[in-house]
Amino acid sequence: MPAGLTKKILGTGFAMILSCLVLFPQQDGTGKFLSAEQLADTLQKRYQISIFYKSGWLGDKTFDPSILKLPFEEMIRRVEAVAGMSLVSPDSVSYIFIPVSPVMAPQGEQEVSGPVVVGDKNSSSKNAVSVLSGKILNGISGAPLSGAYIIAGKQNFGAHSDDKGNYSIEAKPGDYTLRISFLGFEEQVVKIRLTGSGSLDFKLYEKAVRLPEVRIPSDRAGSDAAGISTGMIKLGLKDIRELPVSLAGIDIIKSLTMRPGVQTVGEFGSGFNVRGGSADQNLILLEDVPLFNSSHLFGLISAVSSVGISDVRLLKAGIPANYGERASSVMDIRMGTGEADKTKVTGDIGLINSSLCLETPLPGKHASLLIGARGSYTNWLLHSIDNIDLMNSSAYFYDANAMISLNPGSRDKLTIFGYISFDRFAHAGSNNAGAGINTDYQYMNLLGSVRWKHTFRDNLTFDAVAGISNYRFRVSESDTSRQWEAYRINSSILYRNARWNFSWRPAGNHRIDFGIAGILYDINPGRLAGLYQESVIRKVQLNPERAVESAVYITDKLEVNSLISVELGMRYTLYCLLGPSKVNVYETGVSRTPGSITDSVMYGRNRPVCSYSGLEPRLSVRFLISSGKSLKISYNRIHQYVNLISNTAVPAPTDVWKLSSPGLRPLTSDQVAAGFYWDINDGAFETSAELYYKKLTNGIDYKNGTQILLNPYLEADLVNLKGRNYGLELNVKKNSGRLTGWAGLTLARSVEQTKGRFPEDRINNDHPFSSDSDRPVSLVINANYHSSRRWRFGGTLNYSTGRPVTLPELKFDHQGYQVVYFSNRNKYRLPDYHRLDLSLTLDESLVLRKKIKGRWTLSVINVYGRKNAYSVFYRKEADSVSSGESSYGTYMLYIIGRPFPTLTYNFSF
Amino acid sequence: MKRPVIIISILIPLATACYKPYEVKVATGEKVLVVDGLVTDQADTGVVVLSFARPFNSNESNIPVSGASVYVTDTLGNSFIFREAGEGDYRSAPLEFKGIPGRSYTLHIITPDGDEYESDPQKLLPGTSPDSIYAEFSTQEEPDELTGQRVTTLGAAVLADLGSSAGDRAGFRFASKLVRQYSYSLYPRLNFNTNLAFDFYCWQTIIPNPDINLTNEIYSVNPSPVKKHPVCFLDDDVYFNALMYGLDMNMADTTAIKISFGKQRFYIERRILYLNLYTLNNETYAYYKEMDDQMQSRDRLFDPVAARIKGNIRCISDPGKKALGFFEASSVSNSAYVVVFGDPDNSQPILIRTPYILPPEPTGCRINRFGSPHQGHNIPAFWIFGISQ
Repeated sequence: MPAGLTKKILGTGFAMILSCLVLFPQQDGTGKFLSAEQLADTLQKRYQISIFYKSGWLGDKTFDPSILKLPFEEMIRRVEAVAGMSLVSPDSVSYIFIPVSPVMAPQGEQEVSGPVVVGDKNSSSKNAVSVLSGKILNGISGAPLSGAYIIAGKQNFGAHSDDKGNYSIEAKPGDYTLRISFLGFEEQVVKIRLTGSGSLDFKLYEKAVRLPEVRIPSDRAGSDAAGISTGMIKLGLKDIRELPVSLAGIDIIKSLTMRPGVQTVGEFGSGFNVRGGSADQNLILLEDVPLFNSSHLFGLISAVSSVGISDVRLLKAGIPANYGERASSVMDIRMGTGEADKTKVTGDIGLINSSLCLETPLPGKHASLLIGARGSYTNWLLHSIDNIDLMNSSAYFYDANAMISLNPGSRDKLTIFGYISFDRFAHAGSNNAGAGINTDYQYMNLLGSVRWKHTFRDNLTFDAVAGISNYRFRVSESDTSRQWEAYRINSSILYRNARWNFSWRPAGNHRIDFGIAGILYDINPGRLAGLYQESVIRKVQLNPERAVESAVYITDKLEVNSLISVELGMRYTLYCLLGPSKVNVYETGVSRTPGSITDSVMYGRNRPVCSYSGLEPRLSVRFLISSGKSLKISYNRIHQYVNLISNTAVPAPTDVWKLSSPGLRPLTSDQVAAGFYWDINDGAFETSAELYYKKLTNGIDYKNGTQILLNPYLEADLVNLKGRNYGLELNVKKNSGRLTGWAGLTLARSVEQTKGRFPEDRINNDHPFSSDSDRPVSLVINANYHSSRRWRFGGTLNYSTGRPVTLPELKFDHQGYQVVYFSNRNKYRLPDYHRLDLSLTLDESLVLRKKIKGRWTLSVINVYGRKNAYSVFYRKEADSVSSGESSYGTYMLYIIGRPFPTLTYNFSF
Repeated sequence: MKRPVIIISILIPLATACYKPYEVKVATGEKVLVVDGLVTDQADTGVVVLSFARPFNSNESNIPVSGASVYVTDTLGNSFIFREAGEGDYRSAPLEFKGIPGRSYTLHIITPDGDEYESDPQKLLPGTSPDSIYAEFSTQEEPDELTGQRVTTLGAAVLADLGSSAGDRAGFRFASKLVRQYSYSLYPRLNFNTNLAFDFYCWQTIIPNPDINLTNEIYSVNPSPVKKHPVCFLDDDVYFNALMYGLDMNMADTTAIKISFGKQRFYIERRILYLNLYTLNNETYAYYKEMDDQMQSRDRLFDPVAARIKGNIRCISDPGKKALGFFEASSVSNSAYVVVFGDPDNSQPILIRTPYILPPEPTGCRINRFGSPHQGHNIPAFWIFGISQ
């Protein structure tokens, strides 16, 4: 038996390996040290995983038993570093050690050192013909391989195996190099020293898939006891593959809303809420440029396709000083590396949309290109139905991105990125008299950035980023029978930024980041115009807004000792609102209303109107209690100078962005967070408990009945409030083994309170009230069961307390009209939300010879058809007020009220 | 499977957004006074209706508040008593009260349980008349009475131009009524003498635009001349269903009416459109705007969050006590038009100005005994003769 691949399978189970270790290669393989085989056996028993390796690869290397106390990831890294090994895990259960890093061994022959002696050495006879026989078997199943070839290399003779895998070769004694091959299996090259007749069996293994992208994330989500960040969720490629499936396949942003502290209002609605903050308090960065509307189809699907994304980080607390701008969180999304050494195409096909992504090197080997696109075919489906209204309606979206990476020199890297997304939702009326589309919503994101990274020295790097983000929204209403009233409203925000960042490592345990950043905002709050020539709509153009925000920051990250790490940062922001601008002066002693305007002051183009500035201290401290246990605390302050003004229950594309102004002070967020992180059972489970308290100052809410769109006096219709958000987030995660997943429980409150001088400026008479995102209890359980190397069952159970709502309590008459009197703001709650999604995934084949790798995912969303309330509304049951007393019915609107099956095919080649 | 079936089966899950009845459990036990008050620049129109708010989900009708003391004061210190004409219905004395533009009026109420309420002062702005009221051919979708399916109805869009005399920061509200005339003759069963035929002059009033009709739509930021403001839509139906009346033979008065035949289909002889144009001050306009927003905001995604409407009534004896409703002081301009479809020149509907004489009640009938000494005496005053359809 050759020293071939040794298979060790010691069962299955949970295998998130987290202890810590130190690997000491030793020349002496005896005594207290473990052999490779002993190490593998121990790991397999402890973590119930399967480890594959060739014993010859590790040779006689031995390992200190303390290796078992170290995190598995670290052990693997050290094995890779010291022994030139690499590890791949196609299914979190099986781990394959291979002697090439970072990718698997090259396809083709793999020579085994040292000849295998066959026959009796002592009875060697040079002239006698010996017979070498044996079986050629499937290394995994043990089944005989029929038709496999065994050829002596230089001599060019050989045989093939019969139906039972048997082979037989006659040859004179001597040294031979045998090549054993079978279609679809790795070829084996074995040196033998034939000294006489004998038997030798061979096991061939299927060619494995190259999995260069599969790696163990070093910074696991929310449970990084060793890291310094609190409130961070990180997703690597492997995590993304196993995310819960949503309506359009894997949806990264939607999936993140299932994590503790992150919520959404339901299946609909743009954006998400982080620890009680509103949706505009989240900075969603796509390659360093903010995305102002992160949703397609009004929130059913995220605007960022999972295809082409390499890394996602969501920071809920302890936000480093190099980030700012938004008060609650930062979501940093990175696209593919653009460093592909060969052309690769990935994509998916779903029921609603499909996507395609190409990653390829460009000529010269110093550049690469990543380009991806996604589009829906809902429009085609609508137009295929024999219904005049649907045929005249539209509902579609698309997005596309491209990134070029250039490496002009060993110390420079240039990345150029672009992204576009577009949505259109048009509803046609059913007027038989020729009325066309009645309401037409269109919105678009356009992003671009250029990033240059330069390495001055090994410990000093610099990167500069220049970016642009443009969000445009348009709504039009038309009725061909009343064309004179048809109109359209446009609004937009244009964001341009530049940043210089230096990263200096004065020592291995010390890193300093510092830099400057500048942002230029240009907002068109709204423009109204008629759609047709005969329009009687008078054009209205609200005054555009312009402002500049600049920042200087420094972050000092220091590992004080093996137990304590500190990250101390400071950011200083200076904001200035620029003209042209008309600033209204309001009468003192009364609430600000359009009627209380006494004067106005005009400012010329680019003239400073008002300015705000502030220091933003940042602090994160980690104290390592023991191996796998740590305590962390963090504090951050952030000023936000741009706000999304919304009076809808959920964020909508029609909402208006507004800059801080003389009457609208910047929002300030102060957050303190503390967490305890514990890796249990040597890392089989990662757990964490985080407490946070976040205070929002100068929050904005609207007065009752405020009109948002095209309101020239919007400032007068807003009120200031304070927000208090606090909670406890419990998280447990299991990362490997047949069953993986996480469970997160959030107990939190989000409360707001006005302090109005005048009754008009008070909400609920200045009593505290629940914010729109107040969900006291939220629980998400996500699990994936790997029944085999390719089959995976997944399930996600989502529960949360119902969203606060304002409901009608009373009714009365006024001049023949019936008026409904509503409760205090957010006095009641919608029914609790819960939903179960299940999925079945057939992962891609691991056979390398397959040119196209595919993965099928069948999922059922809302398995038990829960009709979760999206909103509650009322309707008058009798049509006419002239008919006397009207009765009202209250109704609950739900988005997905029945089991919703989806089928997605992901592929790559 | 046919392609449409496949497509629909794919789309069905996308269209599962739906609604279902939902029982709202809210606190409704509070007893809250509601004030519905209006004074105008016309004589004999001051009306204040007091009631208690009803629970939202109840089918109760108005709960009047009787026995209250109600009066209105103006900026000159004049005080006008409103007396209870019906349960909870308080009216100014005839010829005693007429709003004067430029003055502000304040409503005062003392309820039977002693609570004192007061409105904010409301300034009565000078009234304005429309520059032009006209009609254009138009269509409208509306549910069919029998099938409930939406059908397209032909008719006239009544439009208004105004604003040349409108002051700054004034809003306008249109209220419209449409009276449809119909007539027929009956002969008493026991008397076939043709000289004793009875002609029935009947009418029915509808509100063609049940919405709150405000000018200065959301897209009109500043006061400006209003062009083609849609007032209402009138269908061009030739027939309609209306009550048929008979004679009550038991009554000595031979013109006593008895509704004996229920609804029948009648030829529409005439349509009279009554328009009231209210000139609203800022507070009143805002109140109606909020009401309108509330009425329009149901049943849509991304609608503004529902908000309570801010009235102008407060309890001064107990500031913590809630009070609802609004006291309005608005000038009003009245006009009436006969609607004629099918102008032979251009097939467009036309409006012919006519004196503003309201029917005595919204729906009714008068009987004129043909050939009697009283012939013609009982024809309703508003009745229009002589204009062809």
